[in-house]
Amino acid sequence: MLRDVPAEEGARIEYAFRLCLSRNAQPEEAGRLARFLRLQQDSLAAGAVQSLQLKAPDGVAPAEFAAWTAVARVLMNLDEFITRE
Amino acid sequence: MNGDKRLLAVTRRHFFGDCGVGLGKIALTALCTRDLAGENRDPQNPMSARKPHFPPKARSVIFLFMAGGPSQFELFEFKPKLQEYDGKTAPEAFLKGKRFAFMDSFTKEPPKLLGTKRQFRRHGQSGRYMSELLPNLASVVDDLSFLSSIHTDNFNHAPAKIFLNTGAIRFGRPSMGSWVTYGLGSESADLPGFVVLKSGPRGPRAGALNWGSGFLPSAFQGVPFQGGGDPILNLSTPGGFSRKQQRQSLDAVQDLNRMRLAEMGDAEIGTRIAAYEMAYRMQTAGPELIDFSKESKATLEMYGAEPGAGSFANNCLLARRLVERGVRFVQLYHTDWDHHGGPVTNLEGGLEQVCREIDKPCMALITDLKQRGLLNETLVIWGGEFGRTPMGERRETVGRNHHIEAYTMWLAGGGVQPGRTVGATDEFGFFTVEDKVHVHDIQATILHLLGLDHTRLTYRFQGRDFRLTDVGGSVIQKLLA
Repeated sequence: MLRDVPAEEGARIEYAFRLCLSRNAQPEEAGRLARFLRLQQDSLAAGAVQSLQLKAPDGVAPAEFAAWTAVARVLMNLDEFITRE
Repeated sequence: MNGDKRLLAVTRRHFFGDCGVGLGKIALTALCTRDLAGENRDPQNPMSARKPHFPPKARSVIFLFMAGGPSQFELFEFKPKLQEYDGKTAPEAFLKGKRFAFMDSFTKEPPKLLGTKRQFRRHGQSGRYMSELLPNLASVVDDLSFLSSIHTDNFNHAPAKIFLNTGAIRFGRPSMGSWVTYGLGSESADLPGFVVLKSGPRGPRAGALNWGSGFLPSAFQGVPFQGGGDPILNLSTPGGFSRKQQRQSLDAVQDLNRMRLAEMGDAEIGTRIAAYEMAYRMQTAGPELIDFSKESKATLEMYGAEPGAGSFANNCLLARRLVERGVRFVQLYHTDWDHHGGPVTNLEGGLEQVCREIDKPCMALITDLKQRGLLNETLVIWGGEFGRTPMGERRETVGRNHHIEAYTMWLAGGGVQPGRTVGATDEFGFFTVEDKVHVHDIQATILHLLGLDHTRLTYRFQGRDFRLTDVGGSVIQKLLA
């Protein structure tokens, strides 16, 4: 996702959402994810970094990689992702 | 996409949410308002504590399920006549028109009555007969009450277990614990409302069907803890991830789930929201629960509990701790009581072994609850899915077959009149001659003691109002205080 989508937060969130849930995000859903992403970026930047354990791909800052991993985890733990109807 | 593929791509939730009619929102409103006493029931909080139909005697239940069918003739029912007729051919009345679990046992040669080699004597003020195999339990006999005339409908383990748990022999219906938590919720917000603990060489036949939620929302299914080692796995936050980050992730997941719940109106989303919250709280409540280090040495010795042992003794202590913390329904399964007379499962060493495993812990549980002032509001039930026949079954050694006409369970606490025996059987212990009691009656009585009218605790499914007692059951008044 970080590789395939240009570095614009909104577009990346949309891409991830569509990949996981096969639909577009509602504005409030995208907003909530963006808020979460910012929280992670802030706390990771402030040094709550265990992200050094993550092996980030070339050209991507480990903290950035960690923040987006967290977003991916949230999407993959949604009821909608887990439940196939 | 062609027509067929397109239809397959359309999901159930699409119809609920996106059909332009907003069915999801209508369903959600219906969910919120349907309830026992007309109170609003929040689908995100299915386990919130609710008031019963009338004031209860018991607040919690501990069901000690002895899987396999314990032999009442070796434990509780003293039949001198059976002793006298040991080895004689069983009367025709016991066999004519009857079917048994193992037909072989009775066709090779005519079945013979089997006396017991266990010594019986009277115990306590009530003078209740008990055998030498349960000396510790005998010491608290005055706190117990017995049902000696129970009959059930099916002689095989899985259907009979399902019957005792769900009120029907075919699976698919909610279990007792599910009905109870559906009706009453739980007093604990941090632990599951319905917990299942297992001990013994294997799990009970029919497995998870015994504690399933059937057609009730899955929030009400029993939650099994692990056997030996740690009863609950994965309690600690993984390394490299702080609890704060975990909470933030969880908040994001839950907020999005809630948006989806509002859109779709599917109660199962609510179940998942509640389950995730409970899992989070269990990370602190769980370690506290399973930590026996705060228990006194005397208590541990009384139960015979050893941390990490996964024994029935450990589970009894855990059960007391669970109800202390407000858990509504705790069910313990202990195998194996199915003593047909095989090389291991027989009325000799096999029965002695399993009695040793449960005798002290049962006594300890009753004593412990009493000492803590919890026995009055905790209903304890002990028994299996059926009993064993007065006729012997001869395999490698000596045993008995499954018996459904009349068998024995005991109860204590929670509004039961102590020291009483309800029901009597004939002199061979085959048929009931007084106060016949059916499994549905036991279920009605359990609900009654919890303050629930078994005919009013219903759920509409497939066009009819189902209940635990199906279409039968009446409260056993003689058992009540």
